Amino acid sequence: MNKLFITIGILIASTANAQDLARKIPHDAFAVVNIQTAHFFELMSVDEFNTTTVGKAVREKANEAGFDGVQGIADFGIALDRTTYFYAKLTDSVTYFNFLLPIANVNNFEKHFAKDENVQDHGSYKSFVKEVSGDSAVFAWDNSTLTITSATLVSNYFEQPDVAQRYGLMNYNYYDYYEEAATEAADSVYMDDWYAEEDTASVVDFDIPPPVLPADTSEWELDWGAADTAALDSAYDAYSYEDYAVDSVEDDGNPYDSYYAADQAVKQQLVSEWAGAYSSALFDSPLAESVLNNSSYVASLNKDALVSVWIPSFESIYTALLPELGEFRSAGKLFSYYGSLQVGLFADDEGFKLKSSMEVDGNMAKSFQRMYGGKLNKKFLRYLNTDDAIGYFSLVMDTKAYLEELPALMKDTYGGMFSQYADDIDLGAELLSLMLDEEALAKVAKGDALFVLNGVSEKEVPYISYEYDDDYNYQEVEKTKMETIPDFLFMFSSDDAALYNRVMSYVSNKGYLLEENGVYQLVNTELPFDLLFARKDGIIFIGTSVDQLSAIASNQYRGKVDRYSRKLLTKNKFVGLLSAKKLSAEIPTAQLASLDRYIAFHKMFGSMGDFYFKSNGIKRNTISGEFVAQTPEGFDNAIQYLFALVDYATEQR
Amino acid sequence: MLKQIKKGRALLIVFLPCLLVFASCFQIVEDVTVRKDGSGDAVFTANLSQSKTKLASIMLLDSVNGYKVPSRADIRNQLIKLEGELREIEGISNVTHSVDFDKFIATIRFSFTDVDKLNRISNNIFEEMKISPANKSSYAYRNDTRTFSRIYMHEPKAKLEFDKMKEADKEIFKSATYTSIYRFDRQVISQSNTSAKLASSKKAVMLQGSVLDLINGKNNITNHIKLAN
Repeated sequence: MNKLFITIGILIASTANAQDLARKIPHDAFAVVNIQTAHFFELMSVDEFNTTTVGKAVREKANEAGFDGVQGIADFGIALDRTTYFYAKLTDSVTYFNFLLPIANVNNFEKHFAKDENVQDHGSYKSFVKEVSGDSAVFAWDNSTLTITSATLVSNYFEQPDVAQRYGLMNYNYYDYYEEAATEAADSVYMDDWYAEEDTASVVDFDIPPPVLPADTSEWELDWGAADTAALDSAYDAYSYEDYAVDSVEDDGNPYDSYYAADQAVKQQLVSEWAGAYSSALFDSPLAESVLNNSSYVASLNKDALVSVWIPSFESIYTALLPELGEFRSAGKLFSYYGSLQVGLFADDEGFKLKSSMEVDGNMAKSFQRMYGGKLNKKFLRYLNTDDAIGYFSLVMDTKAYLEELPALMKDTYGGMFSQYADDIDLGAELLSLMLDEEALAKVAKGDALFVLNGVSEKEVPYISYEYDDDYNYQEVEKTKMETIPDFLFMFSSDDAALYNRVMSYVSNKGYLLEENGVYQLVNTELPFDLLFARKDGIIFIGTSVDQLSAIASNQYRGKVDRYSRKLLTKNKFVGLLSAKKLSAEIPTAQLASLDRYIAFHKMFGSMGDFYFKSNGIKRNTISGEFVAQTPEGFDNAIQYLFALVDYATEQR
Repeated sequence: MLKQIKKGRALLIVFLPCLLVFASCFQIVEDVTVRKDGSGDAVFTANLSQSKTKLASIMLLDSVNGYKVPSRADIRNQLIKLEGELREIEGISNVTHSVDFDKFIATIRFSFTDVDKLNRISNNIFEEMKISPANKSSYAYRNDTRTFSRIYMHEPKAKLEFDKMKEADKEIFKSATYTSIYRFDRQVISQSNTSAKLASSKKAVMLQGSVLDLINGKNNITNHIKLAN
């Protein structure tokens, strides 16, 4: 019975996926990007898109490029109702970059994109090679799918002597010649040897072995047969070193340029052949196991995302992009704490949302849960007025837990990275832990804080200019000008009243602070704004407004927090919010001197919604965060708003 | 003209990194007294006090907008170095400088035995700023013809360099002003620059303008001044 269900399940899944190009993506792809065009065109119809500035530009460019009959985005032959993918596949010798696009109308596609190309018909698919931004890319397609493949060689791999020899690469260093010349003076035999070697190189067979593709080659059912190798052998005939040695030898006899050019030719040939073979496999060799079998990838999918990015392992970013870093890692612990990384871009009626999440391993998760275990002091909300505030930023940490976890984290992270200093770092971490009185420090700052940007205001500030008498003798005179300064309030929880009082009275005695009704003001400062300190309800306040701080100290201040902000602040570990609309109203007109700039600024930002980011810290093993740019009123969704903004910006130009 | 700016910029060199970070404006004052025998005194002042709140904040940082922010000690050392270099020049004496970090005003003063020494200083400054002294801007004094000439040739290269600057950095120059004052121990009979003003004693000439106009070549500060016997 169970088997029956499984079979039915597989059938349903495979039918659903039959049209999904993801089945062409290997299960161990390095990164996969889904571009859900269908969802995009749900938010903005194809017709609507064609009337936007961007849509018109696409049509114009197509007409300029000689594409006949392109009335809109749908006429290119690409299916707009299915997902487009981009992924990268790493091997030890080559990295493949692939786009997979669904084709709706192959005739339209061929008419526009393949008409001037050297198209080869391989039976099950057709292809041509085209230079795209300096790299050659293989465009291959059948009736339903277009793939664009390019390959980049891993240079370290080809620097290995045996590999270089296999492919006939010289890897000649520019300075070798001069070093050799110096040696040659002492031993002239050397150069003879060198030329003998070169001769050998020029007749080396170009036996091109397959790149190390998947670990399990059966997966590809791919026959890297003799036919390919034979083809390459003949192709290689065109690249003998002698061809390059004649013209490009430098005046001083350094053969670097010619060897370099010959190496490049071999490499370009490899790139071209491997990209072609990879592209061919995409059509002719179905994968036994695609990324759709990868539960982490499948879990990352979200039908509402416009674009989503999935990277199976955070560590692989570093090992792939910064292989040198590997040399520092002995225990390999540096990034092994981090699992897959997922990023999704959403556009809905609230706005654009960039959501990201990352998996971490169990121990790390426990540390993080302890470190970010606290809650925001609810009393903070008494001192926030969301009607007036331009923005706020909050942070919740548990200072004690943070300080307790820190030494172990330090030890694991840096000890692994610099293994030769592992003992020193271990000892340092222990000493740090011994020296710090976690409890006492946590009493001073519990770990939660709220920063409120109340506004920007103009303040008159003096400056020196000159006054000239009739004989142009001059003297300094003080004039004043208006300057924009921030008006903010920062607060953090602190249980240690005794220490606060001692510090304040000490600094006051030194003449740096003036106290009035519990509010301390910094004096003799070059800061362009006032800076004041107060303590109330177990909270230390640092702010710029005398009125606000005095009101807080005398229990007169009344905050006002809207429900949305209350939820945002109390439910998350990190929050930041900025109201572009309020900020634009606060920017002094003098800063936007010309009328054009004034109008443009207010039109662009005056109608903008709020920006915010939030993170509720770690849930189970996943850290997640979200950045949101809200859609202002009057637009159905964020996409519509974005395109309206582009239209507006274009009109202004 | 450029010489005018650049001479003022002798002081600005040290402040420039500070200026290039959204400081809003500055004033340069060149005050040169020429006696009958061609000797005289010069005072160059860079007044950045209109930007002092920004400068004070910026100087708390290490770098802003990719420019390293010099410390007070750096600036003092640069001025000391500049003073030392001026002392080395034959015919230049009484070199002193002052810098006030409360007001952000720096001044350098010296005496010269002959007007031509001013050109020598200009050239030194050009070299320090890696600008080839292609321009023909100069000071000249002839006792026999009783003429003092301040010759300014617009240097397109300066404009080119200026055009290459980031918009935000260009803003700094938009409200910057320069003032040049030439004083004599005799009365001025005539002068060629119509924008220049003559003091009531007729012994001093003043020219004021915008630094931006000088850079763009919209303003010319060339002035031939004829003196009485």
